[in-house]
Amino acid sequence: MTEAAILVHEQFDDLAQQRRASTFGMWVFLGTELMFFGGVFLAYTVYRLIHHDAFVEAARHLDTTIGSINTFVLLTSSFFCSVAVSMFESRKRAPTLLLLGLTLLFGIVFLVAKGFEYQEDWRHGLVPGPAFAYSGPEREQAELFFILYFIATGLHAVHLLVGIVLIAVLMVLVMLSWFRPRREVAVGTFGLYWHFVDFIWIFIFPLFYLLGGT
Amino acid sequence: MTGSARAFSLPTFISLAVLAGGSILLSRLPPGPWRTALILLLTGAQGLLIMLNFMRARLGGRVIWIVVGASFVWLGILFALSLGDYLSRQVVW
Repeated sequence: MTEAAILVHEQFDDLAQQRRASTFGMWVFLGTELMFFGGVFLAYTVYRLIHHDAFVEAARHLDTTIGSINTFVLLTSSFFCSVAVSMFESRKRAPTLLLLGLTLLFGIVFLVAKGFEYQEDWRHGLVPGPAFAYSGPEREQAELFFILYFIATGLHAVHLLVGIVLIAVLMVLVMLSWFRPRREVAVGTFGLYWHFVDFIWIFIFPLFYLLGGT
Repeated sequence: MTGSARAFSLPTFISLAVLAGGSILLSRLPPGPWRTALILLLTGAQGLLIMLNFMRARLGGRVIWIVVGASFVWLGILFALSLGDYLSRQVVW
């Protein structure tokens, strides 16, 4: 029995069909994720149109430097992930592991930087609730901005955390498949998820950080 | 397909970094509709690059394009109906 035959589940004719189905399934899932984040972006759009000046002023209180660094960190991780997928498809497992490790590392760097940013937000009284101590005009509207900011970035961070756990699992599976292939390791399918998380940040960053001005 | 995807990775990454840098520089200009439009334009370009090259939608078959198209159509409906409602209200917010 060939390696490809071992990897194919019984409901598929061959490995190519199995991979196509896997990719299709992930794209459908990402379609639902787009609607999920779309709701947050819609809420932001509506309230920004209604409370334009308050949102522009509130955005100036966010740390654009950390946001910018995090954008480049996530883009770099996406690049590593993209090359890792190509390496895996070329059956080069050592470079695949290295690149997945770098993707993981940059994902962790992003989350750590985000953690520091949240800490600063807390220290400056920007977290909505009883401790909200915003000093600018239109306090209530600004609080709405920060509610949306924490929802959007928090949901994104949770998705990133899931991605980090998945990379760790994938790395173990790639290592195991090195010795004895038992099942297909869906590195390409995971890559779609990781890039999507990057895709979402690409929109969160300008909407919340850049449109307010620095 | 693998070679083609790999060949696109580095140029895509560089383009994304340049576009992100451009957005950050634009944000230093005084706020206004043109600045907002330009930043959103660069953001859209980045999103498109990620989807086409990193996510390989460019190399995907018709079924993938149907899923991508349907996702954005539904998102468009969500925005169109919701904004249509909010923006047509005669309420002073």
